[in-house]
Amino acid sequence: MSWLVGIDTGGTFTDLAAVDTETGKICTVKVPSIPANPAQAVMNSIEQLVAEYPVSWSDTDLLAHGTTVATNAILEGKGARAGLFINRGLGAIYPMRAGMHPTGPDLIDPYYTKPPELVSRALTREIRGRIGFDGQELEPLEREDVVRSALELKEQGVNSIAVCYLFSFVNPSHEQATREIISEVFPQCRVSISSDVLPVIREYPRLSTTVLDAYVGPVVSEYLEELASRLGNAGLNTQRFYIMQSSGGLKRMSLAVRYPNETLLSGPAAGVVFCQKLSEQSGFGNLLTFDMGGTSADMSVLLDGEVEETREGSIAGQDLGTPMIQIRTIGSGGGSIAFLGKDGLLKVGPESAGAVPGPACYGRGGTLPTVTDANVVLGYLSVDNFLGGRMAGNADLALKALSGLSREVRIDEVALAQGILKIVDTQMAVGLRMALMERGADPRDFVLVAFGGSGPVHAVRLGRELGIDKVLIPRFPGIACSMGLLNTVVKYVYLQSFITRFNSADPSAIAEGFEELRAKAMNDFRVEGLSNESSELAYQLDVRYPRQGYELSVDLGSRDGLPIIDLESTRERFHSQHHGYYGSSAPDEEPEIVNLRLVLRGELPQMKWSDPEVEPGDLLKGHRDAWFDSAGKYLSTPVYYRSRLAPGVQVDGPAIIEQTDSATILDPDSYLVVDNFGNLVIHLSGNVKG
Amino acid sequence: MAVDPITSQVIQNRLSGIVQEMQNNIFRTGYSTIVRESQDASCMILDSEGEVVGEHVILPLHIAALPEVVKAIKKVYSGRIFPGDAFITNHPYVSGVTHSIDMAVVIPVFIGDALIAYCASIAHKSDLGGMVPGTGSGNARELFQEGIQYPPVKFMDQGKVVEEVEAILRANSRTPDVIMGDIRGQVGTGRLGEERLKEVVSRYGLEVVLETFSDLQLKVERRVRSVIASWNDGTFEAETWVDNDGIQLDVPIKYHVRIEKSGERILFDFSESAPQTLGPLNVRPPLVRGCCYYAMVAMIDPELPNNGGLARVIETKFRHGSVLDPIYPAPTNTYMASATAVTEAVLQAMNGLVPEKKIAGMGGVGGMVIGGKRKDGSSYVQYELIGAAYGARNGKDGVSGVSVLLDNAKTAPIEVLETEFPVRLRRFELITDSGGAGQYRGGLAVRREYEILTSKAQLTLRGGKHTEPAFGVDGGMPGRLGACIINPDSEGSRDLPSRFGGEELKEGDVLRIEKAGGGGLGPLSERAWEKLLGDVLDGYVSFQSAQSDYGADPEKLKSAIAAWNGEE
Repeated sequence: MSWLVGIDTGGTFTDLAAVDTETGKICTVKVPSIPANPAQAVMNSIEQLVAEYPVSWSDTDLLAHGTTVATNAILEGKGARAGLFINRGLGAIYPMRAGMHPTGPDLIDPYYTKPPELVSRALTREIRGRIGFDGQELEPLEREDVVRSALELKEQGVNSIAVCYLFSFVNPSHEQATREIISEVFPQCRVSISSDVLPVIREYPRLSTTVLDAYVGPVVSEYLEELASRLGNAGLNTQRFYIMQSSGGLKRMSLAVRYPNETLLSGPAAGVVFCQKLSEQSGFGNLLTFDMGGTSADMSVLLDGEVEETREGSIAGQDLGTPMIQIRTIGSGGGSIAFLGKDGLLKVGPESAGAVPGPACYGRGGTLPTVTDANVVLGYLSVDNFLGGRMAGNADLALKALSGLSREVRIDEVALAQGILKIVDTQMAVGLRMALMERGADPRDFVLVAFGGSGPVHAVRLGRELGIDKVLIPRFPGIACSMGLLNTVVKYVYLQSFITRFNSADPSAIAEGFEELRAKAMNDFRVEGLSNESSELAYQLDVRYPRQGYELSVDLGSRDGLPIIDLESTRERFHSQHHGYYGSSAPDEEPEIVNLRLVLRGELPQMKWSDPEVEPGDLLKGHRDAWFDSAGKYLSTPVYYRSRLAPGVQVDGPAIIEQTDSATILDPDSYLVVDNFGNLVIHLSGNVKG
Repeated sequence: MAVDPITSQVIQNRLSGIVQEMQNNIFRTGYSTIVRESQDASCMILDSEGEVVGEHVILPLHIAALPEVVKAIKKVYSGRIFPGDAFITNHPYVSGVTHSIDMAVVIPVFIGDALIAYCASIAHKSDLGGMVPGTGSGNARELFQEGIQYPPVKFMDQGKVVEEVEAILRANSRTPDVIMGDIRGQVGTGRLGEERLKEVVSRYGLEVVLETFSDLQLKVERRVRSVIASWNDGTFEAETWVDNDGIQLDVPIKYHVRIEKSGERILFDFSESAPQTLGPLNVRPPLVRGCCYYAMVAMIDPELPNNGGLARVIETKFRHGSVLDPIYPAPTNTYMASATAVTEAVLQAMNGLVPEKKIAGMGGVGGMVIGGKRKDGSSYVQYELIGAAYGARNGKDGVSGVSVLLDNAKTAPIEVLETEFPVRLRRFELITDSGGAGQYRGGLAVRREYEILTSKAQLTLRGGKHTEPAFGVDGGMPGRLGACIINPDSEGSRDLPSRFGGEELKEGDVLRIEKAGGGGLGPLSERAWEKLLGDVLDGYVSFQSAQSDYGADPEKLKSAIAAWNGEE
């Protein structure tokens, strides 16, 4: 027997999914996360797996891990003591942070403060040497500056240095030489150079990303090395130990430590990747993904089964240009607190009761009304089913928490509960709609996939709010991220700046540029131990209209592993892609190539999806009263066991489907059909009952 | 019919969401560096009367301009507004546009035959003609020198581009392709808003949406009035100064406000401000009102929606013929310095009403334009907005290197500038000791130094604070002054004033721009030791200044620095 194991560290829980490679049997574990010692929580999840299931740890064939270590280092300010090397005279690039306020209240607030610099001015050094925009050397790199600066920073206890010079994305030689020199005089120091981390134009985002890399680097490598050694001691034999990247691909642990900034969205990315698998299974190409937990909701768009990538993210105000899955996070979750705003309107969140004290109905001392409390009052969630009945809840406490606010708003608790849900749903719907807008997509063409503990509860209402017809609830909504870890590929992205108009582009120069990128890719390919059959190279050009500042990636296609360079047809594809994204195009203009981009994908052993296990027994668990807007009252609503719904079964609304980590709510005008993989496909209209 | 508070909140969120979508669209499709890199553009939804109902603030001052624009369109085109139309205007007097280099684009939204709203945007243009590349000259003496003036005209008539208007636009710009790319983007953005707003109406019903429009304004009005009522009655005054108007270089310009607060009413009386200026410092009353909205929102609650409800509460008084209520056709292109100075005066005076919020003077605002021909003969306009610094706030140091108050432009990347324009950046650094000293230090300003790489170019500056520094508060010191120097540290070095137009530059010239620092707050002796030490280590405050201004013991400072450096 051999197992594929995915372990995802979340804010509240660490989830594990283990899949038998032969039979497809799925074992799931959920243990509390330990923010101060995340490796311990990972080990705990494994111990529980071995204790509860007939799994031998040494039979693990592949382990994939989503981690929050890098993110937490930033959120808590616990990264490395890092230094920064920049060009002489250009010390304002980092502290200026482009000089703009973020939008929203910070823009207006005269008390606004910039996010903290992760490297202080005192640990920043200016180095002589300059590259021009065309890659020509204008001034040679001053070796002495590098040597002296490295030794100074060494004295000051720095153990990680970021290097970002102008135009290194065109000509990286000064940055590379700087790294060499540092490694000669201060070999213990970790060095992040911007031409490796993010070789694209715009110095500030590149610098900020490189600083992030240097800042989290030592923390991430320490964590991963410790974890690897503990896993080894526990009997893990496989070399296939992977870390999830923000881009949704896996990297071998030994390579992942080289690019720690790429793990910043490790967890949420896995959830989106899981949806990509669902898209394949269900045949629904266009998915809107919705992962709602206790404190926040993550959203993303899959168009024709493809995830959307962004290169303008930020974590806690720190700007990050690394390609990552476009994930929109908003502060709405089950724990979001409702209150009366100063303008007399009802507000929900972003303040959250979190895991401690949690919603009032958890009975752990919370007294403020939360979204989960509203869901309890309206009968959607049962306090007897928290964590599958392993956690005792108290419905009276939910009601009590709402009654204080209901006096302030002057409506009864039930109306208030409805109001709380409407508001939180609207906020989430605005986020989902924004996510769709950026793809120029119409919600009516999409299926909503809801997961996370709270996602399935809100799914049908959100679907209606957005004008979506179908909602998909995966078999295990609470561990979707760890399942995602087992359903992805190895992925590397290589970039090279290549600025030229289409009509003056030299196809052979493009081919040469790609050949260089391919050589890099083949090197990683060998380290990963990939095979030709299981891997693929995708060649793309990043293109824009000459005056624009932002590019779209256009696929070139390939033959025998080499790019097909047909500029004519690529130009046409760009025009139509631009029209698709922004609703306009300028076919009379000659587009401009900005970057060559090469994506290496390698297949891993994939989990086998067997027929879902169906627990025998009566489908119906009982009835309880639940409020439905369309009825305008509480309806006695049947409650079903999720684990007993076999493929092909149809359930008509109103209905509640309960499982250990979530509940799915069907309103009276909807019905669901269980698909062959055990997912619930909910139809919001065209209710053909019976 | 009253819309319940929940539906009302839902629709408010939707409106703000639509404006965010519009905003993203305008930046992503923008052609000029001023739109896509500096992000000098705002979008809005206004009701059929031209009051703001949906906003997502990017540049606070634009909020005051667009209602005037819509009202001007209604006046000119009454009865002749149709679905598919798109209006443009850049006229500061006829349409209340900020200055004539900003172009407003407005799309009417119809449900059936009923005109229910407008989706509008305003965005800076790279060039619309006029005396100098970039249009706005610091030496302009009348509006007609500040580019061609477009009163409200149809750019699109029932879905079709009016070719004559496009031809006139193109013929009157040094960079026709760039401005047309940006205007196309603005029209597309307005259409997107139109489509989304129609979806909201079909979802919630026209009546509910219209009711919500007025409801949202009423709520803000009530809230603001109740906050005003909670303040003490009284009269509060303040004044601030700007260096000069670009023409009479030795005459500083005064901005004065007297706030009269009584019960739930508040009046901002600006009549004691300076006479209107020969040069382009003038700013029109709608924008001064916008400064008042901004100051009120900043002092009451930065999350307060800045909609038509706020406009109803604010009472203002101007003296016709003053710098804040100029007589047509007085020039206005460097209005932003005035708007900032007025806002600072208002914030200072409001300190009498909200004593817990104190803010020292700001490092100012201003744009810089270099324009000319590249070596290959093509024309270019390099338009930059460079942030300055915040004054200290009680409890907090000022922010360094940032756009201040109503301004929110992004500093263009050096790599974009050097790639697109014949220029090389030699320095971009924070200026040591530029923040006004104090218990809380003013923010530091930046220095930018450019080498000109083409044979002929013209420089226009719309800066400020070369002679009037950012003021300190409660014993804090003023910030360092700004400067503009050609070929610094050389024999032919020349200092230029804070606003001018068309200064000739030649190949190899070095242009140094120094922004002004923010003012300090509170007595210097109260500066916390750790903060002072940190500033010295970071190079924000020199050893010299720590010793002579702050009175730090040099020996103690030396040994603390040595300890930090790991030396024994």
